Amino acid sequence: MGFFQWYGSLPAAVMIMIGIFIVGWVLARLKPLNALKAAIYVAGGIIGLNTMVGMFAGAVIPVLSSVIQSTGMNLDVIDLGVGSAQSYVIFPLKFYSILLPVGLAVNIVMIFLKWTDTFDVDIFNYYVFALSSAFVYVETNSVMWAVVAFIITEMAVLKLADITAKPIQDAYGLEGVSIPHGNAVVYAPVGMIVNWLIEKSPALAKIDWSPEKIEEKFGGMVQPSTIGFVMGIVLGIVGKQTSGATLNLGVTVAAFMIIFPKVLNILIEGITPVADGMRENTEKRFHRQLNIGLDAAVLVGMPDVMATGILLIPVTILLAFILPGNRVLPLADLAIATPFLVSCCMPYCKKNIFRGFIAGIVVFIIALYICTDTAELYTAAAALNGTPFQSISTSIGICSTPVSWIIAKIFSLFH
Amino acid sequence: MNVKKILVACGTGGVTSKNIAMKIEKYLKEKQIPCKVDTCKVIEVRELTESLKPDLVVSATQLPAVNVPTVKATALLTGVNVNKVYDEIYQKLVNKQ
Repeated sequence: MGFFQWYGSLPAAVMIMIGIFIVGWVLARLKPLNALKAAIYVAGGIIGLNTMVGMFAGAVIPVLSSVIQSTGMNLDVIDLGVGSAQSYVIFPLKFYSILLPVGLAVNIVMIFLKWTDTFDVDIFNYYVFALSSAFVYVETNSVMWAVVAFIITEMAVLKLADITAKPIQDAYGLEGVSIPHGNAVVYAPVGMIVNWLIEKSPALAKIDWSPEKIEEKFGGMVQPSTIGFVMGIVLGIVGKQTSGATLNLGVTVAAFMIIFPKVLNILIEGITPVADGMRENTEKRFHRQLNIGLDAAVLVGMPDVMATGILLIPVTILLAFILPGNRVLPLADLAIATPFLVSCCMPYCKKNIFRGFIAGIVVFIIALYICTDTAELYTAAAALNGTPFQSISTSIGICSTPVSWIIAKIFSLFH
Repeated sequence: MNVKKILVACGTGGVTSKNIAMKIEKYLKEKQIPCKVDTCKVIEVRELTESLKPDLVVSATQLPAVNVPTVKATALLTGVNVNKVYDEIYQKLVNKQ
Protein backbone atom coordinates (compact mmCIF):
# COMPACT_ATOMS: atom_id res chain seq x y z
CA MET A 1 0.00 0.00 0.00
CA GLY A 2 2.85 2.32 0.83
CA PHE A 3 4.25 1.74 -2.63
CA PHE A 4 1.03 2.85 -4.32
CA GLN A 5 0.84 5.97 -2.21
CA TRP A 6 4.41 6.88 -3.04
CA TYR A 7 3.83 6.07 -6.71
CA GLY A 8 0.67 8.15 -6.91
CA SER A 9 2.39 11.17 -5.44
CA LEU A 10 5.19 11.23 -7.99
CA PRO A 11 5.36 13.93 -10.64
CA ALA A 12 3.46 12.86 -13.73
CA ALA A 13 6.46 12.31 -15.98
CA VAL A 14 8.16 10.05 -13.44
CA MET A 15 5.00 8.07 -12.82
CA ILE A 16 4.60 7.52 -16.54
CA MET A 17 8.22 6.53 -16.93
CA ILE A 18 7.97 3.86 -14.24
CA GLY A 19 4.63 2.59 -15.54
CA ILE A 20 5.81 2.28 -19.12
CA PHE A 21 9.04 0.65 -17.98
CA ILE A 22 7.15 -2.06 -16.12
CA VAL A 23 4.72 -2.66 -18.98
CA GLY A 24 7.55 -2.69 -21.50
CA TRP A 25 9.71 -5.07 -19.53
CA VAL A 26 7.03 -7.45 -18.28
CA LEU A 27 4.38 -7.41 -21.00
CA ALA A 28 6.22 -6.43 -24.11
CA ARG A 29 9.19 -8.57 -23.04
CA LEU A 30 11.66 -5.86 -23.92
CA LYS A 31 15.15 -6.11 -22.50
CA PRO A 32 15.32 -3.94 -19.36
CA LEU A 33 17.62 -1.42 -21.03
CA ASN A 34 15.30 -1.06 -24.02
CA ALA A 35 12.28 -0.82 -21.74
CA LEU A 36 14.04 1.94 -19.84
CA LYS A 37 14.89 3.81 -23.03
CA ALA A 38 11.28 3.50 -24.22
CA ALA A 39 10.03 4.71 -20.85
CA ILE A 40 12.33 7.73 -20.87
CA TYR A 41 11.26 8.66 -24.38
CA VAL A 42 7.59 8.51 -23.41
CA ALA A 43 8.21 10.58 -20.29
CA GLY A 44 10.35 12.98 -22.28
CA GLY A 45 7.62 13.27 -24.88
CA ILE A 46 5.13 14.14 -22.14
CA ILE A 47 7.44 16.81 -20.77
CA GLY A 48 7.92 18.16 -24.27
CA LEU A 49 4.19 18.25 -24.95
CA ASN A 50 3.55 20.00 -21.64
CA THR A 51 6.14 22.59 -22.49
CA MET A 52 4.63 23.22 -25.91
CA VAL A 53 1.08 23.44 -24.62
CA GLY A 54 2.20 25.74 -21.84
CA MET A 55 3.86 28.07 -24.32
CA PHE A 56 0.83 28.02 -26.57
CA ALA A 57 -1.66 28.58 -23.77
CA GLY A 58 0.51 31.28 -22.27
CA ALA A 59 0.49 33.23 -25.52
CA VAL A 60 -3.13 32.71 -26.44
CA ILE A 61 -5.10 32.73 -23.20
CA PRO A 62 -4.39 36.31 -22.06
CA VAL A 63 -5.48 37.66 -25.44
CA LEU A 64 -8.51 35.41 -25.48
CA SER A 65 -9.53 36.48 -21.99
CA SER A 66 -9.42 40.13 -22.94
CA VAL A 67 -11.45 39.44 -26.09
CA ILE A 68 -14.03 37.61 -24.03
CA GLN A 69 -14.22 40.43 -21.53
CA SER A 70 -14.44 43.22 -24.06
CA THR A 71 -16.82 41.63 -26.56
CA GLY A 72 -18.85 39.42 -24.29
CA MET A 73 -18.06 36.53 -26.61
CA ASN A 74 -18.76 33.33 -24.75
CA LEU A 75 -16.13 31.06 -26.29
CA ASP A 76 -14.15 30.61 -23.11
CA VAL A 77 -13.34 26.91 -23.53
CA ILE A 78 -10.15 26.79 -25.50
CA ASP A 79 -9.28 23.78 -27.62
CA LEU A 80 -5.70 22.99 -26.69
CA GLY A 81 -5.43 19.86 -28.79
CA VAL A 82 -4.94 16.13 -28.41
CA GLY A 83 -1.36 16.65 -27.30
CA SER A 84 -2.61 18.47 -24.22
CA ALA A 85 -5.20 15.75 -23.64
CA GLN A 86 -2.44 13.17 -23.60
CA SER A 87 0.03 15.07 -21.49
CA TYR A 88 -2.29 16.80 -19.01
CA VAL A 89 -5.32 14.55 -18.67
CA ILE A 90 -4.70 10.98 -19.80
CA PHE A 91 -1.11 9.84 -19.41
CA PRO A 92 -0.69 11.43 -15.96
CA LEU A 93 -3.59 9.39 -14.59
CA LYS A 94 -2.14 7.51 -11.63
CA PHE A 95 -3.52 4.26 -12.90
CA TYR A 96 -2.89 4.76 -16.62
CA SER A 97 -0.25 2.04 -16.82
CA ILE A 98 -2.75 -0.52 -15.56
CA LEU A 99 -5.11 0.39 -18.38
CA LEU A 100 -2.73 -0.86 -21.05
CA PRO A 101 -2.62 -4.49 -19.94
CA VAL A 102 -6.27 -4.35 -18.87
CA GLY A 103 -7.25 -3.11 -22.31
CA LEU A 104 -5.30 -5.86 -24.00
CA ALA A 105 -6.74 -8.51 -21.70
CA VAL A 106 -10.29 -7.32 -22.32
CA ASN A 107 -9.76 -7.45 -26.06
CA ILE A 108 -8.34 -10.97 -25.83
CA VAL A 109 -11.19 -12.19 -23.64
CA MET A 110 -13.74 -10.64 -25.97
CA ILE A 111 -12.12 -12.38 -28.91
CA PHE A 112 -12.23 -15.75 -27.20
CA LEU A 113 -15.84 -15.17 -26.21
CA LYS A 114 -16.56 -14.21 -29.83
CA TRP A 115 -17.87 -10.84 -28.69
CA THR A 116 -15.64 -9.11 -31.18
CA ASP A 117 -13.70 -9.93 -34.35
CA THR A 118 -11.34 -7.03 -33.93
CA PHE A 119 -7.86 -7.26 -32.48
CA ASP A 120 -6.98 -3.70 -31.63
CA VAL A 121 -3.24 -3.57 -32.21
CA ASP A 122 -3.20 0.19 -31.80
CA ILE A 123 -2.34 0.21 -28.13
CA PHE A 124 -1.26 3.83 -28.29
CA ASN A 125 -4.88 4.75 -28.94
CA TYR A 126 -6.09 3.14 -25.73
CA TYR A 127 -5.59 6.65 -24.46
CA VAL A 128 -8.81 7.64 -26.25
CA PHE A 129 -10.79 5.06 -24.24
CA ALA A 130 -9.12 6.40 -21.11
CA LEU A 131 -10.96 9.70 -21.42
CA SER A 132 -13.92 7.94 -19.83
CA SER A 133 -11.64 6.91 -16.98
CA ALA A 134 -10.49 10.47 -16.47
CA PHE A 135 -14.09 11.73 -16.32
CA VAL A 136 -15.29 8.96 -14.02
CA TYR A 137 -12.28 9.32 -11.75
CA VAL A 138 -13.19 12.98 -11.17
CA GLU A 139 -16.79 12.00 -10.46
CA THR A 140 -16.16 9.02 -8.20
CA ASN A 141 -12.56 9.29 -7.02
CA SER A 142 -12.47 5.53 -7.45
CA VAL A 143 -9.80 3.80 -9.52
CA MET A 144 -12.06 0.79 -9.80
CA TRP A 145 -14.89 2.70 -11.43
CA ALA A 146 -12.45 4.49 -13.67
CA VAL A 147 -11.18 1.16 -14.92
CA VAL A 148 -14.75 -0.07 -15.37
CA ALA A 149 -15.48 3.02 -17.45
CA PHE A 150 -12.44 2.26 -19.59
CA ILE A 151 -13.58 -1.31 -20.18
CA ILE A 152 -17.11 -0.28 -21.11
CA THR A 153 -15.74 2.30 -23.55
CA GLU A 154 -13.40 -0.21 -25.10
CA MET A 155 -16.14 -2.79 -25.51
CA ALA A 156 -18.51 -0.29 -27.11
CA VAL A 157 -15.89 0.98 -29.53
CA LEU A 158 -14.74 -2.52 -30.49
CA LYS A 159 -18.34 -3.42 -31.27
CA LEU A 160 -18.73 -0.29 -33.40
CA ALA A 161 -15.52 -1.18 -35.18
CA ASP A 162 -16.92 -4.61 -36.01
CA ILE A 163 -20.17 -3.15 -37.32
CA THR A 164 -18.45 -0.57 -39.51
CA ALA A 165 -15.66 -2.87 -40.66
CA LYS A 166 -17.12 -4.21 -43.89
CA PRO A 167 -18.32 -0.86 -45.32
CA ILE A 168 -14.91 0.67 -44.56
CA GLN A 169 -13.02 -2.27 -46.00
CA ASP A 170 -15.11 -2.22 -49.17
CA ALA A 171 -14.91 1.54 -49.61
CA TYR A 172 -11.15 1.81 -49.27
CA GLY A 173 -9.75 -1.59 -50.15
CA LEU A 174 -8.38 -2.05 -46.64
CA GLU A 175 -8.64 -5.79 -46.27
CA GLY A 176 -8.90 -7.20 -42.81
CA VAL A 177 -8.89 -3.79 -41.14
CA SER A 178 -11.32 -2.20 -38.73
CA ILE A 179 -11.19 1.16 -36.98
CA PRO A 180 -11.69 0.93 -33.20
CA HIS A 181 -11.00 4.59 -32.81
CA GLY A 182 -12.98 6.26 -30.04
CA ASN A 183 -13.89 9.41 -31.94
CA ALA A 184 -14.03 8.47 -35.57
CA VAL A 185 -16.04 5.30 -35.51
CA VAL A 186 -18.67 6.58 -33.09
CA TYR A 187 -19.86 9.12 -35.64
CA ALA A 188 -20.47 6.58 -38.38
CA PRO A 189 -24.22 6.49 -37.61
CA VAL A 190 -24.44 10.19 -38.50
CA GLY A 191 -23.11 9.29 -41.93
CA MET A 192 -25.70 6.53 -42.25
CA ILE A 193 -28.60 8.76 -41.32
CA VAL A 194 -27.55 11.75 -43.43
CA ASN A 195 -27.03 9.54 -46.44
CA TRP A 196 -30.42 7.94 -45.98
CA LEU A 197 -32.09 11.36 -45.74
CA ILE A 198 -30.30 12.76 -48.77
CA GLU A 199 -31.27 9.80 -50.89
CA LYS A 200 -34.90 10.68 -50.29
CA SER A 201 -34.46 13.84 -52.32
CA PRO A 202 -33.56 13.17 -55.97
CA ALA A 203 -32.20 16.69 -56.36
CA LEU A 204 -29.82 16.41 -53.41
CA ALA A 205 -28.90 12.84 -54.14
CA LYS A 206 -27.45 13.89 -57.48
CA ILE A 207 -24.88 16.32 -56.07
CA ASP A 208 -21.33 15.05 -56.01
CA TRP A 209 -18.18 17.13 -55.54
CA SER A 210 -14.77 16.11 -56.79
CA PRO A 211 -12.08 15.41 -54.20
CA GLU A 212 -9.24 16.20 -56.58
CA LYS A 213 -10.50 19.69 -57.38
CA ILE A 214 -10.95 20.51 -53.72
CA GLU A 215 -7.50 19.27 -52.84
CA GLU A 216 -5.94 21.22 -55.69
CA LYS A 217 -7.66 24.47 -54.87
CA PHE A 218 -7.48 24.41 -51.13
CA GLY A 219 -4.90 21.80 -50.20
CA GLY A 220 -2.03 24.24 -50.38
CA MET A 221 -3.72 26.66 -48.00
CA VAL A 222 -4.74 24.12 -45.44
CA GLN A 223 -1.36 23.34 -43.99
CA PRO A 224 -0.88 23.39 -40.22
CA SER A 225 1.51 26.31 -40.58
CA THR A 226 -0.86 28.51 -42.56
CA ILE A 227 -3.94 27.65 -40.51
CA GLY A 228 -2.04 28.37 -37.32
CA PHE A 229 -0.66 31.65 -38.64
CA VAL A 230 -4.07 32.87 -39.76
CA MET A 231 -5.72 31.89 -36.46
CA GLY A 232 -3.02 33.71 -34.55
CA ILE A 233 -3.37 36.86 -36.64
CA VAL A 234 -7.15 36.83 -36.31
CA LEU A 235 -6.80 36.45 -32.56
CA GLY A 236 -4.39 39.37 -32.46
CA ILE A 237 -6.68 41.59 -34.50
CA VAL A 238 -9.81 40.73 -32.56
CA GLY A 239 -7.84 41.13 -29.35
CA LYS A 240 -6.77 44.62 -30.43
CA GLN A 241 -3.10 43.77 -30.06
CA THR A 242 -0.32 45.89 -31.54
CA SER A 243 0.90 44.90 -34.99
CA GLY A 244 4.05 43.38 -33.52
CA ALA A 245 2.10 41.39 -30.97
CA THR A 246 -0.35 40.23 -33.62
CA LEU A 247 2.39 38.98 -35.88
CA ASN A 248 3.97 37.30 -32.88
CA LEU A 249 0.72 35.53 -32.15
CA GLY A 250 0.57 34.37 -35.75
CA VAL A 251 4.06 32.94 -35.53
CA THR A 252 3.52 31.43 -32.08
CA VAL A 253 0.34 29.59 -33.01
CA ALA A 254 1.90 28.45 -36.28
CA ALA A 255 5.00 27.31 -34.41
CA PHE A 256 2.86 25.29 -32.05
CA MET A 257 1.11 23.55 -34.95
CA ILE A 258 4.44 22.74 -36.59
CA ILE A 259 6.51 21.78 -33.56
CA PHE A 260 3.94 19.80 -31.65
CA PRO A 261 3.93 16.80 -34.05
CA LYS A 262 7.71 16.63 -33.83
CA VAL A 263 7.54 16.45 -30.05
CA LEU A 264 4.75 13.90 -30.24
CA ASN A 265 7.12 11.81 -32.35
CA ILE A 266 9.38 11.45 -29.34
CA LEU A 267 6.56 10.01 -27.30
CA ILE A 268 5.63 7.69 -30.16
CA GLU A 269 9.21 6.52 -30.55
CA GLY A 270 9.06 5.43 -26.96
CA ILE A 271 5.72 3.74 -26.96
CA THR A 272 5.99 1.92 -30.30
CA PRO A 273 8.32 -0.88 -29.16
CA VAL A 274 6.12 -1.38 -26.11
CA ALA A 275 2.93 -1.52 -28.15
CA ASP A 276 4.50 -3.71 -30.81
CA GLY A 277 5.93 -6.05 -28.20
CA MET A 278 2.59 -6.38 -26.45
CA ARG A 279 0.92 -7.09 -29.75
CA GLU A 280 3.46 -9.65 -30.94
CA ASN A 281 3.26 -11.57 -27.71
CA THR A 282 -0.48 -11.96 -28.09
CA GLU A 283 -0.87 -12.47 -31.81
CA LYS A 284 0.54 -15.95 -31.59
CA ARG A 285 -2.37 -17.21 -29.50
CA PHE A 286 -5.17 -16.55 -31.96
CA HIS A 287 -6.24 -19.14 -34.47
CA ARG A 288 -8.92 -17.15 -36.20
CA GLN A 289 -9.17 -14.59 -38.95
CA LEU A 290 -9.48 -11.31 -37.12
CA ASN A 291 -9.90 -7.71 -38.17
CA ILE A 292 -6.82 -5.72 -37.27
CA GLY A 293 -7.89 -2.58 -35.44
CA LEU A 294 -6.04 0.49 -36.66
CA ASP A 295 -5.93 4.21 -36.03
CA ALA A 296 -8.40 6.24 -38.10
CA ALA A 297 -5.34 8.02 -39.50
CA VAL A 298 -5.25 5.35 -42.21
CA LEU A 299 -8.52 6.76 -43.51
CA VAL A 300 -7.62 10.40 -43.26
CA GLY A 301 -5.39 10.21 -46.32
CA MET A 302 -8.19 9.01 -48.54
CA PRO A 303 -9.05 11.81 -50.99
CA ASP A 304 -12.73 11.95 -50.07
CA VAL A 305 -12.05 12.08 -46.34
CA MET A 306 -9.37 14.69 -46.70
CA ALA A 307 -11.38 16.90 -49.04
CA THR A 308 -14.38 16.79 -46.70
CA GLY A 309 -12.11 17.62 -43.80
CA ILE A 310 -10.69 20.62 -45.64
CA LEU A 311 -14.19 21.99 -46.33
CA LEU A 312 -15.20 21.52 -42.72
CA ILE A 313 -12.44 23.67 -41.25
CA PRO A 314 -14.02 27.08 -41.91
CA VAL A 315 -17.45 25.61 -41.20
CA THR A 316 -16.40 24.43 -37.75
CA ILE A 317 -15.11 27.88 -36.87
CA LEU A 318 -18.37 29.42 -38.07
CA LEU A 319 -20.42 26.89 -36.13
CA ALA A 320 -18.47 27.71 -32.99
CA PHE A 321 -19.58 31.33 -33.23
CA ILE A 322 -23.18 30.85 -34.27
CA LEU A 323 -24.29 27.86 -32.23
CA PRO A 324 -26.23 29.10 -29.20
CA GLY A 325 -24.75 27.82 -25.99
CA ASN A 326 -21.49 26.65 -27.53
CA ARG A 327 -18.45 27.68 -25.50
CA VAL A 328 -15.69 25.97 -27.41
CA LEU A 329 -13.17 27.88 -29.48
CA PRO A 330 -11.72 25.39 -31.99
CA LEU A 331 -8.01 26.00 -32.26
CA ALA A 332 -5.28 23.40 -31.85
CA ASP A 333 -7.31 20.45 -33.14
CA LEU A 334 -8.85 22.20 -36.13
CA ALA A 335 -6.81 20.53 -38.82
CA ILE A 336 -6.75 17.18 -37.02
CA ALA A 337 -10.31 16.71 -35.86
CA THR A 338 -12.02 17.81 -39.06
CA PRO A 339 -11.08 14.85 -41.25
CA PHE A 340 -10.95 12.45 -38.31
CA LEU A 341 -14.46 12.79 -36.98
CA VAL A 342 -16.02 12.52 -40.40
CA SER A 343 -13.78 9.71 -41.70
CA CYS A 344 -16.11 6.86 -40.77
CA CYS A 345 -19.14 8.64 -42.19
CA MET A 346 -17.69 8.63 -45.68
CA PRO A 347 -18.22 4.94 -46.55
CA TYR A 348 -21.89 5.33 -45.59
CA CYS A 349 -22.09 8.50 -47.66
CA LYS A 350 -20.79 6.53 -50.62
CA LYS A 351 -17.61 8.65 -50.54
CA ASN A 352 -19.74 11.53 -51.84
CA ILE A 353 -18.15 14.69 -50.51
CA PHE A 354 -21.33 16.74 -50.59
CA ARG A 355 -23.06 14.15 -48.40
CA GLY A 356 -19.99 13.83 -46.19
CA PHE A 357 -19.92 17.59 -45.83
CA ILE A 358 -23.54 17.68 -44.63
CA ALA A 359 -22.84 14.78 -42.28
CA GLY A 360 -19.77 16.67 -41.09
CA ILE A 361 -21.83 19.72 -40.20
CA VAL A 362 -24.07 17.56 -38.04
CA VAL A 363 -21.05 15.82 -36.52
CA PHE A 364 -19.42 19.07 -35.51
CA ILE A 365 -22.61 20.53 -34.09
CA ILE A 366 -22.76 17.49 -31.83
CA ALA A 367 -19.02 17.60 -31.17
CA LEU A 368 -19.03 21.27 -30.13
CA TYR A 369 -21.90 20.75 -27.72
CA ILE A 370 -20.36 17.63 -26.20
CA CYS A 371 -17.03 19.40 -25.76
CA THR A 372 -18.84 22.33 -24.14
CA ASP A 373 -20.71 20.00 -21.80
CA THR A 374 -17.60 18.07 -20.75
CA ALA A 375 -15.27 21.04 -20.45
CA GLU A 376 -15.53 21.43 -16.68
CA LEU A 377 -15.05 17.72 -16.11
CA TYR A 378 -12.09 17.63 -18.48
CA THR A 379 -10.43 20.60 -16.83
CA ALA A 380 -11.06 19.10 -13.39
CA ALA A 381 -9.44 15.86 -14.51
CA ALA A 382 -6.23 17.69 -15.37
CA ALA A 383 -6.27 19.48 -12.02
CA LEU A 384 -6.82 16.19 -10.19
CA ASN A 385 -3.72 14.79 -11.85
CA GLY A 386 -1.63 17.62 -10.52
CA THR A 387 -1.19 18.94 -14.07
CA PRO A 388 -3.81 21.70 -14.20
CA PHE A 389 -4.70 23.77 -17.23
CA GLN A 390 -4.36 27.54 -17.04
CA SER A 391 -8.03 27.95 -17.79
CA ILE A 392 -10.99 25.87 -18.84
CA SER A 393 -10.04 23.73 -21.81
CA THR A 394 -11.00 20.93 -24.15
CA SER A 395 -9.68 19.06 -27.14
CA ILE A 396 -12.11 18.62 -30.02
CA GLY A 397 -10.13 15.68 -31.29
CA ILE A 398 -10.82 13.58 -28.22
CA CYS A 399 -13.50 15.14 -25.98
CA SER A 400 -16.03 14.96 -28.80
CA THR A 401 -16.61 11.26 -28.30
CA PRO A 402 -20.24 10.61 -27.36
CA VAL A 403 -19.28 7.35 -25.64
CA SER A 404 -17.26 9.03 -22.90
CA TRP A 405 -19.92 11.71 -22.57
CA ILE A 406 -22.68 9.16 -22.04
CA ILE A 407 -20.62 7.23 -19.51
CA ALA A 408 -19.81 10.43 -17.62
CA LYS A 409 -23.49 11.33 -17.55
CA ILE A 410 -24.47 7.93 -16.21
CA PHE A 411 -21.89 8.06 -13.45
CA SER A 412 -22.89 11.59 -12.53
CA LEU A 413 -26.35 10.29 -11.70
CA PHE A 414 -24.92 8.20 -8.90
CA HIS A 415 -22.42 10.60 -7.48
CA MET B 1 25.34 4.61 -51.72
CA ASN B 2 23.95 8.05 -51.04
CA VAL B 3 21.76 8.57 -48.02
CA LYS B 4 18.24 7.80 -49.16
CA LYS B 5 15.57 10.30 -48.15
CA ILE B 6 12.22 8.82 -47.30
CA LEU B 7 9.00 10.58 -46.44
CA VAL B 8 6.39 8.63 -44.51
CA ALA B 9 2.86 10.00 -44.46
CA CYS B 10 -0.32 9.19 -42.63
CA GLY B 11 -3.54 11.06 -41.99
CA THR B 12 -2.29 13.02 -39.03
CA GLY B 13 1.46 12.84 -39.37
CA GLY B 14 1.48 11.26 -35.94
CA VAL B 15 1.62 7.79 -34.51
CA THR B 16 0.86 5.81 -37.61
CA SER B 17 3.48 7.42 -39.80
CA LYS B 18 6.09 7.32 -37.05
CA ASN B 19 5.35 3.66 -36.43
CA ILE B 20 5.93 2.86 -40.08
CA ALA B 21 8.98 5.12 -40.22
CA MET B 22 10.62 3.25 -37.35
CA LYS B 23 10.01 -0.09 -39.00
CA ILE B 24 11.49 1.12 -42.27
CA GLU B 25 14.55 2.53 -40.53
CA LYS B 26 15.15 -0.80 -38.85
CA TYR B 27 14.72 -2.70 -42.12
CA LEU B 28 17.05 -0.45 -44.07
CA LYS B 29 19.65 -0.60 -41.32
CA GLU B 30 19.67 -4.38 -41.65
CA LYS B 31 20.07 -4.00 -45.40
CA GLN B 32 22.85 -1.50 -44.78
CA ILE B 33 21.19 1.23 -46.78
CA PRO B 34 21.79 4.60 -45.15
CA CYS B 35 18.58 6.58 -44.92
CA LYS B 36 16.90 9.59 -43.42
CA VAL B 37 13.25 9.13 -42.66
CA ASP B 38 10.79 11.95 -42.01
CA THR B 39 7.11 11.82 -41.18
CA CYS B 40 4.30 14.12 -42.23
CA LYS B 41 0.58 14.46 -42.80
CA VAL B 42 -0.82 13.32 -46.13
CA ILE B 43 -1.95 16.85 -46.83
CA GLU B 44 1.66 18.03 -46.61
CA VAL B 45 2.99 15.42 -49.03
CA ARG B 46 2.85 17.47 -52.20
CA GLU B 47 4.65 20.49 -50.75
CA LEU B 48 7.20 18.41 -48.87
CA THR B 49 7.91 16.28 -51.91
CA GLU B 50 8.81 19.42 -53.81
CA SER B 51 10.93 20.93 -51.06
CA LEU B 52 12.63 17.82 -49.65
CA LYS B 53 12.84 15.83 -52.89
CA PRO B 54 12.64 12.42 -51.21
CA ASP B 55 13.74 9.26 -53.00
CA LEU B 56 10.58 7.52 -51.87
CA VAL B 57 7.27 8.42 -50.30
CA VAL B 58 5.66 5.78 -48.12
CA SER B 59 2.12 6.02 -46.92
CA ALA B 60 -0.23 4.37 -44.47
CA THR B 61 -3.06 5.34 -46.75
CA GLN B 62 -3.73 6.72 -50.19
CA LEU B 63 -1.57 9.52 -51.56
CA PRO B 64 -2.14 12.40 -53.94
CA ALA B 65 -0.19 12.07 -57.18
CA VAL B 66 3.49 12.91 -56.87
CA ASN B 67 6.34 12.40 -59.33
CA VAL B 68 8.40 10.33 -56.95
CA PRO B 69 8.10 6.55 -56.35
CA THR B 70 5.52 5.66 -53.72
CA VAL B 71 4.74 2.62 -51.63
CA LYS B 72 1.54 1.91 -49.78
CA ALA B 73 2.57 0.44 -46.45
CA THR B 74 -0.65 -0.28 -44.58
CA ALA B 75 0.52 -3.91 -44.33
CA LEU B 76 3.31 -2.83 -41.98
CA LEU B 77 0.58 -1.91 -39.52
CA THR B 78 -1.55 -4.98 -39.90
CA GLY B 79 1.34 -7.42 -40.00
CA VAL B 80 -0.10 -9.21 -43.04
CA ASN B 81 2.21 -9.66 -46.05
CA VAL B 82 4.82 -7.43 -44.52
CA ASN B 83 7.67 -8.76 -46.62
CA LYS B 84 5.93 -7.75 -49.80
CA VAL B 85 6.01 -4.12 -48.66
CA TYR B 86 9.65 -4.28 -47.57
CA ASP B 87 10.61 -5.81 -50.91
CA GLU B 88 8.78 -3.07 -52.78
CA ILE B 89 10.54 -0.42 -50.72
CA TYR B 90 13.89 -2.03 -51.40
CA GLN B 91 13.22 -2.31 -55.12
CA LYS B 92 12.11 1.27 -55.51
CA LEU B 93 15.04 2.63 -53.52
CA VAL B 94 17.87 0.53 -54.88
CA ASN B 95 16.83 0.38 -58.50
CA LYS B 96 16.71 4.12 -58.66
CA GLN B 97 20.42 4.50 -58.17
